[in-house]
Amino acid sequence: MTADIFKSVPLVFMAVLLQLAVFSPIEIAGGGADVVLVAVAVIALLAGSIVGAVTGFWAGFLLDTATLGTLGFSSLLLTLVGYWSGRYGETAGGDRARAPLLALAAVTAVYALGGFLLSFMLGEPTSARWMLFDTLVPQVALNVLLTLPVYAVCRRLFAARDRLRTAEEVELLG
Amino acid sequence: MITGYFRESEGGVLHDMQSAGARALEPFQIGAARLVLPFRDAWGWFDGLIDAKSENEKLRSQVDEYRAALVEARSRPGPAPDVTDATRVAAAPRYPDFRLLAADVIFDGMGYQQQIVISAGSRDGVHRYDPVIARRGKVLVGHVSKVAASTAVVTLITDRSSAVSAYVLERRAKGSVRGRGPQHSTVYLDRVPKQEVVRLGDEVVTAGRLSGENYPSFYPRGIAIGKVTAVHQSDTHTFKLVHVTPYADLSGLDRVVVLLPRKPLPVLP
Repeated sequence: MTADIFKSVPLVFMAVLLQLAVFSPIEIAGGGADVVLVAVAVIALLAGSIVGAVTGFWAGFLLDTATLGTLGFSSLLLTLVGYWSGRYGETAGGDRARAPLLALAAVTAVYALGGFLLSFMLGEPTSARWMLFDTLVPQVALNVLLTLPVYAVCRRLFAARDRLRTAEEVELLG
Repeated sequence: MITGYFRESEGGVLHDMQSAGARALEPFQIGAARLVLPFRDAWGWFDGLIDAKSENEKLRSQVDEYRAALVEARSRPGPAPDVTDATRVAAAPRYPDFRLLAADVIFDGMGYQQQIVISAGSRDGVHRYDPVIARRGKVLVGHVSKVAASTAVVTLITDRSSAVSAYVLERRAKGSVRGRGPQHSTVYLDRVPKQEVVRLGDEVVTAGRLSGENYPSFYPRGIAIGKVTAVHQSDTHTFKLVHVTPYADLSGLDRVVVLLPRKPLPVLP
């Protein structure tokens, strides 16, 4: 697990830089892709809930630091995203081919809802219509599209654990 | 962490930690932003091609208007303008009470709050509420809303929390330019009395107080904000509702200029 966390550190750092420099300014059909969210969810799916939660916290901390946002805002949301995606990977979605795409679609919607609720509770200016209707559909579509290359890269890095998991399953059955 | 961050002052531990972190990340952000700049430019170029034809027509009609105005001004009877004075005015600094500081845009946010992060902070003399203008065209972009050691957050004029005292250049009608959020490309010129005349195409500029007055303004007078594109009024509303399209291309900023006041500005509570 510790090795997975160390592997995820540079990956998330790169994802944050990519998000800030490349993906944030690009708007397609009113929405934008979130490579950090995709990276955290995919790492969590491949490496488990604890690694996902730790990765989410680290990614959120980096994002909030770089954008001078409310410290802890993105960390809280991405920690939950990482943990939930990890649990999904460990239980129901582990052996399904479409699990990453399904998880990312669901996670993007939940992340938007969580972001809206948290902004509302913190008294920050927000709009339910904009966050949950105007931008959500293109954002889900773009994040799902982005999942394929991110998953391909992450799968190579976290492949060892994949094999280990298969072995564990064999042991349990025996 | 969120609670602690909210409850502490701007000089608190978490704020200091964030500022130090932002300082450490700044070189990476600048590097990444410069690396992708050619690609962003290419994207902007192709994106701009889509409405290049209609924009070209608009610009041509503007040139015709300006040419007609110039001919009319030249044909007026009166003494010829003093060339020496005109040269002196042109060479004089445009904002004598402010120093100009150029900064890179290192984060161009996509969230509901219309904000960008720039590569200049308190170490460079940037303070909260300093006005920010675009490098090209010197038109208003927004104001500094949060400052760290080497970076700062700029709230754009399209953000809902932004309000700038402004007036219509041609008519002297005063009001307040307010942002409308990310769904809208225009801003409101609010608080314009109904008896004032505002026409389509009128230019809206900042109404900051003139240099040398006792109580200086956060914004210098005369920074171009945008052009009037719609005017509404109804019996039930107290004021006119004027739509202004900002001159600044707020979606494609790569470098901005911060106006640093030479004199201390009034402190807001």
